[in-house]
Formats: sequence, structure tokens, C-alpha cells
Amino acid sequence: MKYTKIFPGRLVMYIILYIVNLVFFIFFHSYTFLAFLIIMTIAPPLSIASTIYVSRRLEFSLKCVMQSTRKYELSYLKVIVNNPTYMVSLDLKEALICENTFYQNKDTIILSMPVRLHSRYELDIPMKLSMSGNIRYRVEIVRLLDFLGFVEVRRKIDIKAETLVLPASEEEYKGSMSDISEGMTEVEETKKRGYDFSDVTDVREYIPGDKLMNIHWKLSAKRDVLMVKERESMSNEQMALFVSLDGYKENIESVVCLSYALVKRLIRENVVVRLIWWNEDLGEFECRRLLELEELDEAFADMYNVHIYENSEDVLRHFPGIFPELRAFVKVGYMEGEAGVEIRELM
Amino acid sequence: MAIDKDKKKAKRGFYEIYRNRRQEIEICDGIAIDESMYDLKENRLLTMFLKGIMVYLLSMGSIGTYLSCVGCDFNEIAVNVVAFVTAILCSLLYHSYLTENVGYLIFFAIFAVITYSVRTYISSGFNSILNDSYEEMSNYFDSEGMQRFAESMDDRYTAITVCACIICVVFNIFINNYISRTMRYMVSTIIVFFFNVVPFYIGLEPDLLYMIMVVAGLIMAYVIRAGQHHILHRSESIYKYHDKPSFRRRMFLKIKKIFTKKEEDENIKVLKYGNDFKALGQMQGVLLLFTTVVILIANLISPKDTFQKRHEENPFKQATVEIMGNVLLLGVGSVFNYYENSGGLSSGRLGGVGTLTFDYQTDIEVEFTPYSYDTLYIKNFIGREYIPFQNRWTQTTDFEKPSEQNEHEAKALEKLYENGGEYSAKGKMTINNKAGNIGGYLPYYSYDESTRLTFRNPREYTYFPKQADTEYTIEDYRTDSGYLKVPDDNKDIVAQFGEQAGLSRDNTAEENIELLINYYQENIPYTTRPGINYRDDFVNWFLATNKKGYCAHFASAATLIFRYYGIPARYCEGYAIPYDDVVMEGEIEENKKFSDYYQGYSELGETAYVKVPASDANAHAWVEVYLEGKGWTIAEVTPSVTDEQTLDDFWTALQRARENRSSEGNDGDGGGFNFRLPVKMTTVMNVLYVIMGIIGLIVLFFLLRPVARSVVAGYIYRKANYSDKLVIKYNSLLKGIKRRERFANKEDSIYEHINYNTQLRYMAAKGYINISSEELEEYIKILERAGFSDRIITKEEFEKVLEGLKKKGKS
Repeated sequence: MKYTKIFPGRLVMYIILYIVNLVFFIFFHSYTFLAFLIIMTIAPPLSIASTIYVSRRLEFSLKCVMQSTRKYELSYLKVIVNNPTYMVSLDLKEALICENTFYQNKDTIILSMPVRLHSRYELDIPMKLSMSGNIRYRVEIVRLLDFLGFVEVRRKIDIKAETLVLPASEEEYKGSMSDISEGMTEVEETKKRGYDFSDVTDVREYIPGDKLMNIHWKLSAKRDVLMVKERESMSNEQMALFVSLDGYKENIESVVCLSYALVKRLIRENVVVRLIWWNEDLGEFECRRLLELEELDEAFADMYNVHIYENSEDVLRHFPGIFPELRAFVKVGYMEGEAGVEIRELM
Repeated sequence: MAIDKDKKKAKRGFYEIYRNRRQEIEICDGIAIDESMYDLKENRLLTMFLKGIMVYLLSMGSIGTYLSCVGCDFNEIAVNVVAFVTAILCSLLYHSYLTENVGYLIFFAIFAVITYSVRTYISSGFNSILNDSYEEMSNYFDSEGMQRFAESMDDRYTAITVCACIICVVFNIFINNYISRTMRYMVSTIIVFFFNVVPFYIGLEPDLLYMIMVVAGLIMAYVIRAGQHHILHRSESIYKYHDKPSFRRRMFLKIKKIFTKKEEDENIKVLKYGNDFKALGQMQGVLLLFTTVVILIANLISPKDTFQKRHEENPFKQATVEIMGNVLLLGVGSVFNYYENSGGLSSGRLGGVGTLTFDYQTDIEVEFTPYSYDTLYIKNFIGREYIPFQNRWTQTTDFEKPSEQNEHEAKALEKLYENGGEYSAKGKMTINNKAGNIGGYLPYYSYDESTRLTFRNPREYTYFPKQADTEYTIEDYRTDSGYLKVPDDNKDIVAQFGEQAGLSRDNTAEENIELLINYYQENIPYTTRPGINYRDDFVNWFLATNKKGYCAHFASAATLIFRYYGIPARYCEGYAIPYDDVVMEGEIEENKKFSDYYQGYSELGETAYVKVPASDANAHAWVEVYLEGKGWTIAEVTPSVTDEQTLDDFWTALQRARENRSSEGNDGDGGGFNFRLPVKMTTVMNVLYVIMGIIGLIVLFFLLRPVARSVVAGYIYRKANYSDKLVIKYNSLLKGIKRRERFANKEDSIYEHINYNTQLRYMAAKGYINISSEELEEYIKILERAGFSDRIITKEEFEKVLEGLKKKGKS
């Protein structure tokens, strides 16, 4: 749909009809044929001119009814064409580009719709999205057909809509948590070595029995009273979970779904999850700490902004340097023909 | 807009077989349009209503155009209402499969009952319309004496109204078939205009209202079809999906690739809407308004009513007026029944032409020595018996014999000559048939055999001219009673006419002949455009109704009248070359002496040996009457329109003719002889033959194409190796199964299987082939090798697989 399209076949046919009509008029000298002749003479320029005029005045918009949706659930895309003019066209073509930015899938489908006189046409398209990611809809080119079918006038527009597709909510991690708890235990040990992963929420006066490490020395010096930091009641358990986004789309999809289900379960079990993934574009790891389920969707939304890459092992070599505090982490990746979970120890 | 899945299933109904494959539309991996897209239904009722309006505009427009052109009075409101209602009904029949099939039957049944009950009105109304039409046509073609069709109802207004209503319904049915489903404007144009060509040809214009209706209807059909959303699908889903390009698009891409050397992606996903009633209605409204405004403005600037008068007819149309007149007034058959000489010799066949036209090409050449101021007659046909209503004269079977011609008269004149009688003579005449009828040509009076004169095979005849003063007697010769026979169908009219002319059985033959000639001269005008006669007998119509005509009319009627009054008479045809033509057109043969070709008395004295051409303008019909003692004598009954003039002697006349030869031809005697048609009939016939030939070739092409295909396919098969042969045979089997399953649920059909492996397994599972599982595996391997490998399979493998595939299963 790059260029304005001309239909030479229809033009030729019209010219033939015109000539036939002209011959009939010359032969019969009938007023009826004269009427046809007049109309056939003024129709083509009028048709093309009015089509150009209408195409420039049309207003387009794209909307996703829901900002985010789940896999396999119907998500509606609204395509709106508003015609403020008093002309009609029977055929408007919009090249709808549908793209999953995460998997870098893209293709175009041509939508045809009528342009009604001085009114708005809305088309609700039920989209079925079976792969998670960030789905972007774009229309860059529209084409309007003139009355006589000679030309499709092209116009560039730029309208977009996006929706997020998250893994299905009913997917649950059915694996054994004991395999994973091995990783969690490692985390606890690191905590014993002095690494604290809690957050300060309040400051109060010292009560005998409080840990010395919680004393707010600065404030205590100021106030001349021992003050203790009140830490957020964090779970005693935390998990670093690395999502491996390498390989084939179908494999990554199952990895993402498994990660989602696993994280969801962990959060439900009051485990703080540190979700980590590799950002190929920035060349660094991205990390999100997840305490609640609401944060999970946001984190995955951020994850979908990256692109998949080739080999996670190359990436994981950097892991110890970036996360020295970690002694182990859980890798969710595609292994032995299916998505699975693997505990990785770091020395 | 979530659709309940159960509701989705409930909506799938009778159209299951015909609807699109109802599945998700995959755009790319992970992104698809859900099949509930197909649940968006169009408002079929309103769409069909709008298309029905178009059908109404076209059918009522075309009927109204015709009726208003020819000036028929009818109840316009009633006809419009009937046309509108039936157009909408016809269109709504396409609402669903059920209404289309059952509805049409009911519709036709009701229509048949109504038509039968008002058949008298329809018949009378139709005849009224035809009579009005023919009246306009005969005014235009200036052809009188038209027959009228019987109108059984006195109330023309009601009869035409009823007839128009019925015709509108018929038109609605036809036009609806092409408009509602596929918007075929070309076919609709032909239906609308095929009979309206007639009033347009004769310069009539319709009322503005009907003109607007027709023009608007056709413009709508064109525009809506150009809009690419006109097809009425079985399924009511608004949207249809396709990802394969049309045949035209594929061809276009192939051709483009040849020139640009670039590969273009053929498969484009398109989600296309079918019909949108709002846009359709709005488009129709805009076009109707546009058409109305344009036509009204045009009418203001150049009024319709005076348009024809302000413009002369173009020469091309004028050239076709004669032919069209005959076609419209006599029917298409007149084109083929047109006499070759177009007003020349007709070998006794009468009528068939409303207007004589001449090509002025030389039919015969006569070489002789002019001897008299009288017209030279060369006889070709003698009509013995007249067949009424068939309008033709028949000859005797042995008409070539001298005894059936003028043998006795010739011998009597010869005897006179040999005896040196006064005013007797003998001459030699050569007649050469250049383009005339193949038949005998005899001068007066010769007893040579009237053998058939073929083209460019001249023949010399000896003749004994009878000049004004020549006296001779024939003895012992009586003609037979066949030359007195008057058909019963003609007797009354002949008697009546004879009485009017003053003939009587008490008069002598000569008196009666003279009376009739005078009566013709004074009361019956000569014309080359006597008009057409549909039903009456040729002679009766001439004598009682039309009372004008050309030589064939006069001669035929006179023959019967003379017979009625007891004068044996016979109808003759041939060429009549008047003296003026001899001197104007004759060429002197310098090397031939007068005396070698003529001896005896010459009224003109010694003239010369001249060659005179005779064309179809010289073709003539006259009467021979039998007079006692004189034998068969020419009776020239056709009135002459020449003024009396002084006749110069031969050489003076010849000199003057040579001096005047470059001047304009005379205005003709005998009425209308100078009428000349620029377009020859043969040219028109040739064009018609070419057109018919082209149509025949096209039909032959479509008939022979499947034959040619199978011949070519057979040849290819014979030349193929075993691998290709097996693939061909397999594809043929597959095609048959696909044809059987074309209406099946596509999700569980052969269409889902696209390779040999799955196809054969499917065929075996469904029972199309009956083979064991071991054979199945083996056949799959052989087929895959045949289809994809360079290694050609053996004859045994080929025959084995073929044999196995032929074993039919239960289903």
C-alpha cells in the first residue's frame, strides 16, 4: 500500500463505455444518451477530486479497549473513522500493522470499511492474543477508493494503540517448592552473613532486646536517646529469579509463563522475589523487587519492553559481578525440551 | 461486546455449508482475530431493500421510457407502485437460501395465477403498445398500409396499465437476478436498452422522470460495483476474510514480474466488509441527486423536447433507415428474405419488400440493333398459377420449351418475314448474364429454347420483332384453360375491382384491356414504397386496401382481372429497356454491321449494333394476354409517369445523350427509380455474416476448450514417465474427493490435508480407498518418491499403487 493505486483496467473499461455511449449518441442523437455522456464526462474528475478532499478530511483513531489483558482472553481493538464531510465512499482500506514488540512479530492486515456520509464508523475487532508481550497496533497508510473505482487515494497517518498481554491468570506453578526452597535457604545464609534486605519504615526508642544492628546511631547521637530503626516486616525469605529470554519464541513463551506462575506463587507465600532479566539493548540486567501481586504485572510489562536474545549463558557470566551478594539464584529457562526451573549457585 | 460461545453456536444455522471457514484470522504469531468477528451481521433486510430500489429504478425506468416515447396512455402511479413493490419483493427473496428457493416458487405461482386471470387485458394492452409503436415507426419510415393488431379491450388505458404492470414484474425478476447478487451493470444495461433502441432510433424521447430513473439506476449499478462491496454472500457476516489473491491479481503480478523482475508477495491478508446498508443508501441518494441535478440543468440549457429538431440526423443513421425500416416493420427475416436484386426480378415471389431499392449494377447485357421506339422486353419468368396468401406465381414445369413461351407467335412472324410481309423483320440478339438471376432470357418473339443462362455465358437468339404496324395471324393455336384460372380467394375482390373499372364480359378483350389500363393510370398511383402487408393476400390487399404499388402489383392484379373476364393472361417478369435507356446507356459496337444483325423493317431506320446494360432498375413485370389470332401479346398495365415528349431519331438522340452524359441523371420515370441506397445490402449482409462468424467461433471455442484440454492432457500423460503418470492419476483421484467434500465442514475434510502422507491416511480412514496399513505405508513412500524425488519409480510400483488406489472403500 505504498503508493496511490490506479486501476488501469477500470479506466480502460470506462473509456470503452464512454466511446460506445458517444457512438450511440452520434448515431441516435438521443437526449438520453446525451445525459449519459454529460454524466460520464464530469464524473471522473468530480469523483477523484471529491475522494482527495474526503481523504484529507477523514479522522482516524485506534483504541485498545483494555490497556492490558491476559493470554487467550478477547481483547477488543476499536478502529474509528470519522467523516466530517457530506461525501460517501464505499471502500476505505486501512493497513493495520500488528506487532508484538517482545517477540518482534509483525504483520499487516488490510481492513476495509465504508465511509459514511457525515458520520462515524466504529469497528470493534475481537483480538485473540496467544502470546504474551507488548502488542502494538499501528496504522500508517490508508487508501480511499473513488466512486468510479479508478484510483485509491493514499494518505499517510500515524495512529497507534497498545495493549499488554500477560500470561493467563489461571496458570499456576505446579512444581515442588522444596526444589526452589534450596535456593531460598541459600539466600537466608547470605543474610546471616550480614546482608540485610529489609527496608526501614519507622524509627522508635530502643527497647531492650532489639538488635544492635537496628540502632539508628546518627539519630541517637542527636537525640541523646537510643533510637532503633523499625524495619518493614519482610519475609524472612527472598528469591532472586532470573528469567532466561533466549531461544525460540515458543520456548520463551513457556519460560515467561512459568516465571509468571512461579513468581505469583512465591508472592502468595510471602516470599520477596527479585525478578531479574537481561536487557539486550542496554547491555545490562534489569531487576525488580516484587512484594505484591500488583507489582508482578508491572514488572512483566517492563520485561516485555526488552528483546529476546540468543544465548543466556553468555549473559549469566556477568551475573556474579553484577550481583555479588547473591550466592545462588533460580533460573527459569528452557531446558530438556520444556520450560523448567534450575538452581544456580554462585561462588 | 463479548459473545457467549453458546450463542455463537446457536447462530450457526442453515448457512453452515455456504459460509466462510469460520476460524481465527491469524495475523502473525500470537496475534489473531477471533472467529467471533464473523458474528457481526449485516442488516440483510435493509440492504436488499436498497438493492430493490435500484431494480425498481431500472425496470420502471426502462418500461416508462418506452411507453412515454411511443406515447402510450397508462396509469403511471399504479404501474410505479406495482413495479416498486414487486422490485422490493424480488430483492428480498435473496434474503436467505430458504426465501430464495421457496419464495421464488410461491412468487411465480402467484404471478402465473394473476397473469392468467388478466390475460385478456395483457394481450390487448400489448397489442395496443405494439400498435402505438408501429404507428410511430410508420410515421418515421413514411411507410403506410401498416397492419394493426387486434385490441380486444375497448379500454386501452386499463389494458396498457395492466400489461405494463406485468412487464414490469418480469423485468424485475430478470434485473433483480443480476443486480441484487452481483451488480452486473452491463447485463442490466442490455436488458434496459435492448428494446428501447427502437424509440431512440426513430427519434423519440422519454419523459424526464423515466430518463432520470434509467440513468440514475445504471450509474448506481456501475458505482456500487466499482466500490467492490456489492456481492451478496450466503453468509450474513459483515466481514469476509481472504488471504489469497484473485485470479486477476495473480495474473497481474505475474505479468508485472516479467517486466520488473521483482517478486511481490501475492498473499495479502484482507478483512473485507460485504455490504453496509447505510453507506449503500447514502451512495444511492447522492447519485440520484447528482443525476437529477445534472439532467435538470442540461434540460434547462438545452431542452429535451426540441433537441431532436435542432439537430440533423447523421449520415450513418440515414444510411440504415431503409434496412432498419424493413427489420422493424417486417422482422429480422426481412434481412434474409431480401431479394437479391432488391426490387429486381423475384421469380414470381411477390411482396416481402416495403420499399424497392436498386443497386444499379448491370444484371444482363443486351446486344442488338435498335429498331423501334417501343420498350424492349426480355422475358425471364412466366407465371401460370397464382397462389394466394403465399403471394407467388408458379411456372409450368417445362417452361423452357418454346411451346410454353412464344413459339407460335415467333413462327407466325417468321413466316411473315419469309414471305416478305410488310413491317416484318428478323434480328439477332445476344444476351449476356452478368449478375442477374440464372434463368432463361428471351426476346420478343423468339422460338429458341429459353435455356438457363449462366453467368458470362452469352447466348445469341434469333427473334422476329413485332412492331406497331406489323400484322400477322396465328392459326390453329389455342391456349389451355390454366391461363383463365382465378383463385377463389381472389374472385370477389377481382370482380369488385373490375366492375369499378368498368370492365364487362360483354366488352371485347381489347376494350377490357384498355379500360383497365386507363383505370390504373387514373386511379392507382405507381410507387416504389407501397408499404408492407402482413396478413392479406398480395393482390387483394393491392386492389382493396392499399391501392398503390409497383409493376408486380399491377401485373399480378391485371392478370387475374383479365382472366376473370375471360381473357387468358399470364404474369411475366423480365427486363424492360426503354428507348431512352438504349440511347443513354448503349455503346455502339463499331466492328459490327447493322445488316449482319437485322434485316427487314426498322421503325428507326438503320441504326447500329449496340450493347445496352440492364440493371435491376430495368426489372419489370407485365402481362401477356392471349388474343385470338394474335397469340400472346404484351399488355403493359403499369402506369407510366413520363410526360409526352417528341422522340428524336436514333442518331440525334444518341448525339444528345453523349453530350448530356456527364450531366445529372433524369429524375426517373416509373417513380422512384433513382432512389439510391449508399449502403449496399450485400455489405450489410457481409458484416452480419462476419459478426455471426465471430460469435460462432467464440461459441465453438468454449465448446471445444474442454475437448482440447483433455486431448492435451492425454498427450502429456502419454509422454510422461511413471512418476509423473502416478502424480497425474493421484491428483485426479484427489480432485474427485475434493469435489465430493466441497460442502463439508472444512475442519474435518480432505482440504485440511496437504501432503501425500496425511491425504492418503485420511482417504483410508474415510474409506475412499481400501488398502491395508502396510500397503498404505508403502504407497506413501512410492508417492513421495514419485512427487519429490529425481528417481523415477518403476512400472511395477506405478501399477501397484494405481491398482491399490482404484480399490474403492465403502463410502
